[in-house]
Formats: sequence, C-alpha cells, structure tokens
Amino acid sequence: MSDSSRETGEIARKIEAILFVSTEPVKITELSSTLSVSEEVVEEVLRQIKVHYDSQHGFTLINVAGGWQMATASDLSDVIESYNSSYGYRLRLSKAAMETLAIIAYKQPITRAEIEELRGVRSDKVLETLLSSGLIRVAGRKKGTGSPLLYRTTQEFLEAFGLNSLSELPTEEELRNEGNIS
Amino acid sequence: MTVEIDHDNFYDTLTTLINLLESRKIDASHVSVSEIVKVYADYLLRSDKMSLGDVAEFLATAAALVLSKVRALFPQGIEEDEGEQDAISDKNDASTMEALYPYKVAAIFLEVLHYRRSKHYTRQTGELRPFYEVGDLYFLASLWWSLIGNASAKNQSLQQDIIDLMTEDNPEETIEARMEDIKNSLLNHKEVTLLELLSDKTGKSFVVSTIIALLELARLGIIYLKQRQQFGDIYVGLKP
Repeated sequence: MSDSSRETGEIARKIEAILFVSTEPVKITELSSTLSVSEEVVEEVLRQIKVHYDSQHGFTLINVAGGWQMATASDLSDVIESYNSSYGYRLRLSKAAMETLAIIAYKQPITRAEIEELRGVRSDKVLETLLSSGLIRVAGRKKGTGSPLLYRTTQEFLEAFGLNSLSELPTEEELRNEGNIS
Repeated sequence: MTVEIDHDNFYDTLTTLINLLESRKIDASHVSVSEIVKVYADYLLRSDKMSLGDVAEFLATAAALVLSKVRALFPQGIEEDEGEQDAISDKNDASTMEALYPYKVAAIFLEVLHYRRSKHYTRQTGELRPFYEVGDLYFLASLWWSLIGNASAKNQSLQQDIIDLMTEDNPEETIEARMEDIKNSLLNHKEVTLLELLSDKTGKSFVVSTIIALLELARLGIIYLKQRQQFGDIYVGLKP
C-alpha cells in the first residue's frame, strides 16, 4: 500500500469516527479544520466512504442540511421499524401545514398576512404548528405598519426533508409546469 | 434565557418580553403575570407622574401577555383546527388557486422528499423535538399514557419503599409497636412534643412509623395533636 493511500485510509477512519458520534450532520468545513486537511480531500474521502458503505454495509452517508451524516440504508427501514417502531423521523403534518411550509420555503422571509393572502385562509394555527415543530422560525419583523413577524425555514426543515440546501428545491417555474393536481 | 429589566424603561422591557413570546424564544406558560404586575405597581409607586396613556398601554400589553399565557396553558381547540384545514378548498377562488398552485405542487414534492428521508434512520439525541399537529389526539393520548406509565412505575417503587418500612423485622419499628410506645410515653408524661418522640432514635423508618402511628392514634380518638404556634412543635397528649 502506498503512503498516499495509507494516509487517505487514515483520514477516512477519522471521518468515520467523527460521523459515528455525531447526532447532527457534520459540515465539510468542520471536518477539514478538525483533521487539518483540505476540504477537497474531505469531500473526496466522504464520497469514497459512501461508495464503500453502499456496496457492503447496512448504513450509508447522507448529505443533508449542509453536512454529512451516518444513516441506515434506505432499503433496511422495515428492519429498523420492526426492531423498534419508536425510531424514525416522521412528520405528522396536515396538508394545510405542508402547503404553508412550502410557501414559507419559497417565499421566505414572509409574514403571516402574506401567507394568508396566498392561501386565502387564516393560517395562525398552522404557523403555530410549524413553529412548535421547529421547521420554521421567526426571522425578525418587516418594516411597515404593525411591524409583522417574518418567518423562515430552519436547519431542522432541511434535515427533515433530506435537503442539503434550499437550492435543491425545484424552481417555482418548474413547479408551475408540473401536471395537474387533484 | 435571561432578560434584563430596565426599571426606568418599563414599557420597552415589556414589549421586549412580548416579542420574545411571539417569536417562541420563551415559553409563555413560564411567565409569571402576577410578578410583572407587581413590578409594574412598584414602578408606578416610584414614578413621579403617571400618564393615563401609559397605563392604557400597559393594560393593552398585559392583555396580550395574558392571552399568550392562556394559549400556552390551555389545549388548542381541535374543532377549530379541523375547520381551518377544511377551509382550504372551500374558500379559495380561481385566482387564489392559480397563485397557490405551485405551492401545492411543492407541498407534494416535500412529502415525497420526506418519505425518502424517513427511510434513513440516524443516531438520535434523545431530546428530539416531537413532531405533532396541534390537536393531534392520537399523539397527545400516547404522550399522556406514557407519562402515566412513568408515574405509576415511580409510585410502585415508592409504595414498595413504604411496604419495606412497614415490614421491617425490628418490632419496635412496626406501626402497632410504635403506637403502644407512644401510648406508654403519654401515660408517664401528660403531654409530649413530636421532637421528644423522635429524639430517641433517628432514621427514616423510625420517623415514618412514628408519624403514621400518631396519625392512626389521632384517627382512633386516643390522642390529640396541637400546634400552638406557626412552625412550632407539635404537642401530643392523651384525650380525656
């Protein structure tokens, strides 16, 4: 084994150890500064680890909320559920809440009045639900009459939907061109 | 979270508090309204002049605070919630539907994303925020039963401790034996205090058996228990 591949293998072991203990996605910048290696090297090693896991193991790496996290393989979800049904990351949101969340995700920062204008119905309770679940947060006040609160999605939103960043969402134009919805 | 109260600028401080409540940075149920009213009363007493406008502003802000607290303390109206969900398709006109269309698609897209994400399980912190809909009876019922389960498990161990105390081998520390001891003490001395009764021995089981024995003797009408001053000792004597 060459020195280079031995070094890469050592970095991979260290990254695995950090990801193993972390309960949250770990950013490449954090790994890079902790291990004193370049971000490019970290990114490359992460991809190698993922390929290795996907081919031989019951877990994988997922790229969510701007970071990397160890997770079980998606095809093994039934096994985990039958082992312990309390595991999981399931949202219990109504259609109205999901729709409001989508509006906030695309129009953020947005006020309650603007959401209600779009939806055509009162949305205070839905916002209450989304705030309680941590999927949205108050991001200041809008200048103007009444200084209404502005809402934004959170890091938990990205984690819950497996998004690395908001830019992974389809554009509004792409959404408009989708087929009819019943 | 600590909020510094500027006693010279009470209204700004109160408004800050309301803002913190609205932005969910603090839980309204933990705010003591009576304490705020007390601070306000102190502020008024210290103020040289009192404007009716300021008082009206305080009342309006305090009302908002009370409303936030009531909402935090009481369960949300389930029927209203369901009404809000049903209203989506009924009230919207064509233009609203058109504007809303991309977000309806986005909502479906998010559901698909979440479905995919839910197939991956990650390490849990143990303090994950539960995701539930306001008024979700199933979730609330599950939470309620788990709390009852935990509480009854604790009570069982507490009851077991008491049973252990009652069934100790030492006869002096059984309730009946302790009742006899107390009666004998009272025959010798007209009146004794609780401290005197407990002075012989220390230990959890002895204190518990003494108190239960006293209560039982009082219930049977054999003794009286009197406390002659607040926080004073308890006097025990035989009833005539």
